[in-house]
Amino acid sequence: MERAIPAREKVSPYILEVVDGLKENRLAVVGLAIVVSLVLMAILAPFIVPHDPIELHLDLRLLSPSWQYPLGTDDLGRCILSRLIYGTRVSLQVGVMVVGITAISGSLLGLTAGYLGGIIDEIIMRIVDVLLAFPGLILALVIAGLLGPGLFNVMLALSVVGWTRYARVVRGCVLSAKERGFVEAARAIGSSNFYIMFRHVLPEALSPVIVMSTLGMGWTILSAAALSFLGLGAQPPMPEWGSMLNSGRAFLRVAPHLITFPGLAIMVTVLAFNFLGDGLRDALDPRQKKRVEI
Amino acid sequence: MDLLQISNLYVNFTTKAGVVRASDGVNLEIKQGESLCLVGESGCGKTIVALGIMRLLPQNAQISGKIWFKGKELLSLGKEEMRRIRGREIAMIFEQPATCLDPVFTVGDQIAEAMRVHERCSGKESKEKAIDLMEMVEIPSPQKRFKQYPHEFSGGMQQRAMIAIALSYNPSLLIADEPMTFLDVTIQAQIMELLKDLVSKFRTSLLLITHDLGVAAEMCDGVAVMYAGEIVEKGRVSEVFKYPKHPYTKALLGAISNDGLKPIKGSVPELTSLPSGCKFHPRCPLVRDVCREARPEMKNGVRCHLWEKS
Repeated sequence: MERAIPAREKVSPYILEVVDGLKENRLAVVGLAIVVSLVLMAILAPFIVPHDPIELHLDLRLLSPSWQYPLGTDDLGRCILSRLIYGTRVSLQVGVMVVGITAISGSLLGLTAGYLGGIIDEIIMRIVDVLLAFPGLILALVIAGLLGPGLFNVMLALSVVGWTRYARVVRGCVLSAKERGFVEAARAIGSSNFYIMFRHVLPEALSPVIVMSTLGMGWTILSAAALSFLGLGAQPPMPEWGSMLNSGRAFLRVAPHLITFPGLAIMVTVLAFNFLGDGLRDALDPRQKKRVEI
Repeated sequence: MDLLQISNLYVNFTTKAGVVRASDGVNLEIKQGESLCLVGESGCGKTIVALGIMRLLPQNAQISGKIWFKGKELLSLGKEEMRRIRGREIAMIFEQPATCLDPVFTVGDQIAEAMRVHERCSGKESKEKAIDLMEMVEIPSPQKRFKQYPHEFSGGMQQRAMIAIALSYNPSLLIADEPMTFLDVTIQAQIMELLKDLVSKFRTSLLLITHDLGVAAEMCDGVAVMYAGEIVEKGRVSEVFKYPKHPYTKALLGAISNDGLKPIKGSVPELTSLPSGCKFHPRCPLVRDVCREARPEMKNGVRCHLWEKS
């Protein structure tokens, strides 16, 4: 099919270009669709669940999927579908909170380190090095273990572990951005360092941070589920995918749907964020812009 | 009194290759409303002098000497005081306008931004002023151009935008570091005219850095010829270009004479290992023994042994 060239000649704003770039990537569109439906599911949870996610029905334990219980019931007779839908809320909350905290704090620290340089740079980056020397999940496990079980502590632990990558990437971008001509020009008209940092240097690091945040959502949700699986995160009766896996583990042979569906939910969510992140990376990278042959 | 007086400006860089003497005792004066041209080959330290005045040198630079501007000694000012002078009192235009505009903001936004650096100014007010400035530097249809990004501007238009930014506070001194080098010849002439008009209109002093002697002759009252980190000759443009004294100035002028190109033999010495005596002596056609040994002093506007005697 031939594309209409005149329409492309119109200068479209940057955002539209990114959306265009994203549209060309099928997987990214699928990822975006899944993410949007997950968000809708989380928001509309009370209206779309078929059953109460916490109410116990001891007479209806370990039912296989049926019309009444589309994904079956768990060992305490709770509807798995309803619990999964409510679990979306928990996972997305954890993801947004942790990614928000880590992306903002990591970016600010990376910006400070890269722009100011010297001893401040050394201190921040050595802390980053130390934190990165540990495997992330293990360190989060230790921190969450020390703080005690609970969803808040898991978020805290993941935040402590997660900011380092943002700091590193942002610092790298800042180091190259601060040598650019427009930074010198901004100095020459008397702009203050603080102003230059936030107006001219930080935007240079924005697109990698957006990509990392999207990919980070997947990582965070997966890690939070892992910690919950180990009993450190969400506490019963809160419906959480990781802890659902954990409680279903004992019934692997008699009722495999207990772990199949939460597992699938985690996998689909993480995949969706990864697809979206990959797509965004391609769409936001100006170097990969294709030239149109006429 | 001079608007700007530089005395004994030394700028050294400590590098792995040794100490680079980028500015080796430079003395310069610019009067109110005067335009001075700093000419010389690439790598002789012209830009370093300009950046020294702005105090925007790289971190590994050691700077000493005195720079008097409106009764203040710039090198002894605090960082914050210096920041208030930049842009408001001394503005600078750089060589490559394309890299000096931030690609993520519209050009109009960046001109308006300059207005907000030193004074509180509402968004609307600064936008109006920015459009006025764009008209002043003759950017056609400024309302439309205000919303465009730097990549939608041609090189000449970008440089006009940079001039608008530089003149936003009506500074007393404008430093233009090779503002025409990256432009087409026809555009060069336009920008030159524009700068000349604006400078005389606002009675702004101009320090023009260039290696284009034609531009220098056209635009400036005074000229200072720089070679390997020092001023070798200075004076009125009309005198220096008509009756050059220093062999280097002669060679520079001769290089573009009507008899075809006559390159100066050799190249600017490495600033890490400068020759003894007169720095120009390895390339000088009139070299004598004394030139190899003693460094000539600046006398009667020229730094040359041949002129000390006569």
